[in-house]
Amino acid sequence: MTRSNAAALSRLTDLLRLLHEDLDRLSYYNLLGVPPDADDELIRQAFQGRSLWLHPDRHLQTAEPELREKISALYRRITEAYRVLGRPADRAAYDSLLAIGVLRHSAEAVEALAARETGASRGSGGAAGDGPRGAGGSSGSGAAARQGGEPIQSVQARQLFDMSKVSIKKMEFERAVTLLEQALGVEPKSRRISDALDEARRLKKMYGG
Amino acid sequence: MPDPVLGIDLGTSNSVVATIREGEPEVLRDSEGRTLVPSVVSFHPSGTVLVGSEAVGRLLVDPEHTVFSAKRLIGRPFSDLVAQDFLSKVPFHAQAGDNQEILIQARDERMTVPELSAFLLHHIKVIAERGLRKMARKAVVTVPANFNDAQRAATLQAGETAGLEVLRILNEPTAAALAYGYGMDFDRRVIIYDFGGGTFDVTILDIHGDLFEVRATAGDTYLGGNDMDSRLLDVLAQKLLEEQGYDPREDPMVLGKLRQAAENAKCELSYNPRAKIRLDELAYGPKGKAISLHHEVDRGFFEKLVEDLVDRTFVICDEAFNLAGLQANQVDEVVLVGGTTRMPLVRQSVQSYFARAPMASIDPDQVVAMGAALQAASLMGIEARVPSGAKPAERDATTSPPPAPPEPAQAAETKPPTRQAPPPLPGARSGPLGGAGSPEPRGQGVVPTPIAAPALGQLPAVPPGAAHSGSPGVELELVGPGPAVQEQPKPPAQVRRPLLLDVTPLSLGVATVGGYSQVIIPRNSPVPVEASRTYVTSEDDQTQVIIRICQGESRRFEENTVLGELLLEGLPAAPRGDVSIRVTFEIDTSGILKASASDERTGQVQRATIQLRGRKEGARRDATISGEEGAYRLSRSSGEAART
Repeated sequence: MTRSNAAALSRLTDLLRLLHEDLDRLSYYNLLGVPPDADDELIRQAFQGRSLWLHPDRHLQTAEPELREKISALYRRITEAYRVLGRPADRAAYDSLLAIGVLRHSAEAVEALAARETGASRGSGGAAGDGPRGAGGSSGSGAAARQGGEPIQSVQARQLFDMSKVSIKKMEFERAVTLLEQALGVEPKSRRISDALDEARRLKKMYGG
Repeated sequence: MPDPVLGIDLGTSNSVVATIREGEPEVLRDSEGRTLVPSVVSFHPSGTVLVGSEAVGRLLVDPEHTVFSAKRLIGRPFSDLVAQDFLSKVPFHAQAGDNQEILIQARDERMTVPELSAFLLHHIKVIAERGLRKMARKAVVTVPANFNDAQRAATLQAGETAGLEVLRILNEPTAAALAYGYGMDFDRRVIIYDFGGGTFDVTILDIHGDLFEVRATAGDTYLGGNDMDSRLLDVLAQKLLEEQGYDPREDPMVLGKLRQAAENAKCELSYNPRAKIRLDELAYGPKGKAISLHHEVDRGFFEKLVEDLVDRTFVICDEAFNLAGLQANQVDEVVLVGGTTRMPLVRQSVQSYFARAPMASIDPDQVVAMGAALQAASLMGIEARVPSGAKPAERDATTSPPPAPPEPAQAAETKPPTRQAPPPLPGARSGPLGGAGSPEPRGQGVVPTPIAAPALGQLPAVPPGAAHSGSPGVELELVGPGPAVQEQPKPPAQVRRPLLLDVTPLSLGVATVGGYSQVIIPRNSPVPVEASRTYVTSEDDQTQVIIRICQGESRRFEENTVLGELLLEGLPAAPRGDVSIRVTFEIDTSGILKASASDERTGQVQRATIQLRGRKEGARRDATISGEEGAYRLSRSSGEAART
């Protein structure tokens, strides 16, 4: 292997590590690198492009098993993205989930969303009923849903909310949690804030403060 | 020189092995020059095991100890309807083991089906090593695309027992597509119509240069040429019974001869309008009267006899097109694979269904093994050359629309409205999606560059539109194109390793209350794939959870193939509902299921074991095979002999 190839490989390695760390903060659209209004053809091409680079078969000669596993985990998330975005019903459900900050599609998430929309339940995550899968659509998924539910009313809560986003960007999750708790104190009924808080707590648990 | 790699087409009736020699796929021959290895294993009274051509003769003289078409049993529990049907029609004997596994009576021993298949694989390995004059361990083994997890896992186990390092369990039609399109710089959609001895598969693929993406696959693992043999066999048996009062079903040896005669007649009818069957002194009836069979079958009669079997393949084709969201006329080429496609009836039917002449210039028997060898080389990082005589289409990079693939003349006017050049991706004009990452020109005057590495600066950038997705926490510029990644690495110039993107053929489901199956991973999902589900304890101090898993498309759990149970153990004692376990199901690139579990609260990894129905675990893993070409022995280091 030539020197420039080795250098390229080392940069590739760094990049893959970074991407893997961000796995749980990327939407399916982010993962595939397409805009949310991408059509099927664009999504398919994005998947093919990602595959040429990230498919585990392209990295079997990579020496470090740990890195191989990271690439594999990353690629499995990409196939997940392609699978969900490639099926209209699943994609519609996912867009609704994304609007409330849920980044991964799952049967439970769809059920929870349906329950939430009918006002029956407000539990976060979990609530794994054993019933058959809720029909993919979960109604509409229209523009309002894509905006992330109702906007935050008070200026103070919105400021805290925005500050928390900055904190998350800086990976200061503990601070983000504190800010969002305060925001929720101001506007206890905001779904947007409570979802962001759940997410921030999850990130904090995952990566530490 | 790297280790040789093998591509093994483990067929129902015949198997084939290929390798990559001097950069090109090549089918290997046994010492007699034959490329087809009959998938037959015979247990000789002396204790040796005869395999392949050596075993074929035993079909007639020792039918009760000679096993053929074991692929029809692999990965199935004894109670399986297909297994029962098959076992009721063959002269050899089998029974159920402790875990519902099929145990084949091999004289004074009982053998699992993977062990039996291991004899065949070991024999193939020996043939390959003789041909190569080298040890060969690394192999890609093919299976029908519609094989489920249990069938794939059993095939993998057979390979390991045979002393192979199985790099991948590869789908037969995908392997065929690779052999067909490798190095051709195609940009076309093909359908692989794979009608073999025991199974039928249909796979729709898009080939873009070195990228082979499966769009949909469907099949029937119990539909093949063998069923046609059986139909003709029934006719012959009935004739003997009616005309001479003799029922050949009572004598396995006679039945074996009739089966062979039926198969021979079927093959002959592919080339001749009629076939003569002449079996003198087949048996002796009452008072020692010689029973002989003289019969002539004409093609028309035979075609009527098997017409419905051929028709069934097109129902499966419809299913595949539905899955892919495509029409039969949106295909650029139809490739025939498998011996049964030699039948004129099959060719005519294919031509009328697809409204185009199928591609018939490749050997339907060898193409799968060659594709498997190409994939093995690719996985090992070996660069295979483009097969001689198959020069990649030279393309003028400045031509705006890429030249259309050559098509049969009669289909020219029905040119399907297939893929148009897509709009370039915003903000990533030279990114992996727009040009450099795609190996084929997309009508934008991009020079096709075979590529293994991405345009680094582009991929992680979040597209502008993503910022409007409204989800908190994702509006991050995660990995900006910083100075470190500005310069794009160049892939090595010669890399042309193909990449296969395959799918899982069957939906994976878990049992729910009321006997339903909840789909966790839908069929036709690209692999490797994973999906998670959370389970909450339903009783106080519950320490284990059992999850029943299946594969198939029925809403009712039991109507699917029940794979077995996933057992979660050692859960912390707590009030009900307080323990929630996240279970992740993963289907790997070989189509084999894995499961892992973790406690949602503590993040602690939980033990998750899959107990497959119909598989014998443990001691039998230690079985090894030894011996010379055609005659082998199985030894089990554990000493557990399962004698009867």
